[in-house]
Amino acid sequence: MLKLVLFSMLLLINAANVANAEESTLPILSGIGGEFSAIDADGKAIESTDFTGNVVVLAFGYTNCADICPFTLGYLKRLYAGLRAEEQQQTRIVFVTIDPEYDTPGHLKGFIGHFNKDFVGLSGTQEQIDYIVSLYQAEYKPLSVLEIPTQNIRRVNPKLFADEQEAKEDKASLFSHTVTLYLLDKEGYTRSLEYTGTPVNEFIEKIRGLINE
Amino acid sequence: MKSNVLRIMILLFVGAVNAASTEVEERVAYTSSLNAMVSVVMNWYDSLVDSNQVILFDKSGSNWDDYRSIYPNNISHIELTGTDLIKIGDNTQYQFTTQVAIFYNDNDGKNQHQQLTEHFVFDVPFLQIPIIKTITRQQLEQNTAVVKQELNSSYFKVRQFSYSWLAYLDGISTMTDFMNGSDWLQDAPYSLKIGGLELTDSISSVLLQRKKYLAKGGHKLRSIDVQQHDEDKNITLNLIIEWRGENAQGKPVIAKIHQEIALKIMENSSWKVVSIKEEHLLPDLKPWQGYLC
Repeated sequence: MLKLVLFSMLLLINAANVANAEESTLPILSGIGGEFSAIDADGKAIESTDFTGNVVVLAFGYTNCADICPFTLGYLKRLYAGLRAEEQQQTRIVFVTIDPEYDTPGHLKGFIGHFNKDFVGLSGTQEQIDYIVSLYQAEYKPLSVLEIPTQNIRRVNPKLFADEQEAKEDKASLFSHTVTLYLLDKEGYTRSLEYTGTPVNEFIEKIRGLINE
Repeated sequence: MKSNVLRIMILLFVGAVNAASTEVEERVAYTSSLNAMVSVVMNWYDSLVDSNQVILFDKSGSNWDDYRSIYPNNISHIELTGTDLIKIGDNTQYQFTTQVAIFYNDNDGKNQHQQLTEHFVFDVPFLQIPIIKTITRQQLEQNTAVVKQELNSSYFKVRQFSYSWLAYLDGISTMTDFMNGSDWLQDAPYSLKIGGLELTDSISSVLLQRKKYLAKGGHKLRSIDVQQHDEDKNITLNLIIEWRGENAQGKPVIAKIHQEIALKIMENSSWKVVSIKEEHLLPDLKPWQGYLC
């Protein structure tokens, strides 16, 4: 009888240790994030609570970004590909544009889809975007007061226009913006700050830890 | 024999499960003790500089007169040049060491100073005001290199207030006397911003709401900025505080807290808090987190 009790206790201790090893120990970062509304890449209204139950990796950027955004989305593509299929189902990669005037839902969908069709692009009114930026204490700044012809920008997925003349006349602003990748748990709490310098395997382990919570 | 083995196994199991919560409780004990001890030490030095400053801690020790008589008369100001804290003895005893330069006028009216290293040994019952058990000191060689910064008594008052407020937030409710809090704790509005949550209400009400996010943990002061206005009748303190602990669901939480505290100096020189604004900032975790590209 005693042997049975001891064996049960050992199993329980082992189970507790395994659970601790697999679950995340990342702390909640108080005050970073919160509930918001936006427009998704299909033009539909979306609430941040729609992501509840999924681990989220959230990034800020814009489609005319010539350097860090394509690099970041390429990194996120590798990160997502490193997850198992069932883990991908529980993970959302969310890209919030900081230039909602230019990045219409349709254009954002084409840009995001260039990297992965599962990725979620968020746009909205300027007020909605600024609120999301403030919730995550992110930043963005226009690089100049003048807009520049977009054909002069090296872009991975140019906006589509009805005719060539319209494409030639197309102009947009350039911005600098926060490069942080925010890792959110299934309840929407920010649990870690990462960037494209984080080794992909390390990032995947953090996502797994949050999925297993 | 069998029952002893079983007891040990049960203890091991309970120990594994409780390790995390013990860590939080140790943090509460450490930060509340630290904040309260610093507040007492600030009150000690302030009472040497400002003869009107009331001594707010227990001075019933048998060597009280000896401890106080060592200091010179006519102290003009005291400069704190270093501090250190170590835990000694059982879990409730700490040694708080200070290095101070004491500036005073001698009998001929000449400016003099002496440098001391003082060791305050405290007994700190959990979530209670620390008790000074002993003070030992060494007088150092006079060092003319000490730069006189003209620190007045408000230097210590600001820190006494700030640390006692943090000790109060940590759970030492009896710290109210150290921050002259009997009235303003009822009256002053407290604004809180945590992400999308924004509310303004009484201090007790806001602290109750705050408990959902910062349920059990400890506050560590990282910096103080003091702005004085209106011929020094109004003071704004900007405190940057690090908080670690857990939320109401028992999940680990860290916070970088900015508090803007508006204070008014009353006719009788006492301080009254006019308002408190708190917001939670991006914690300083990664060197690149402020970069824009």
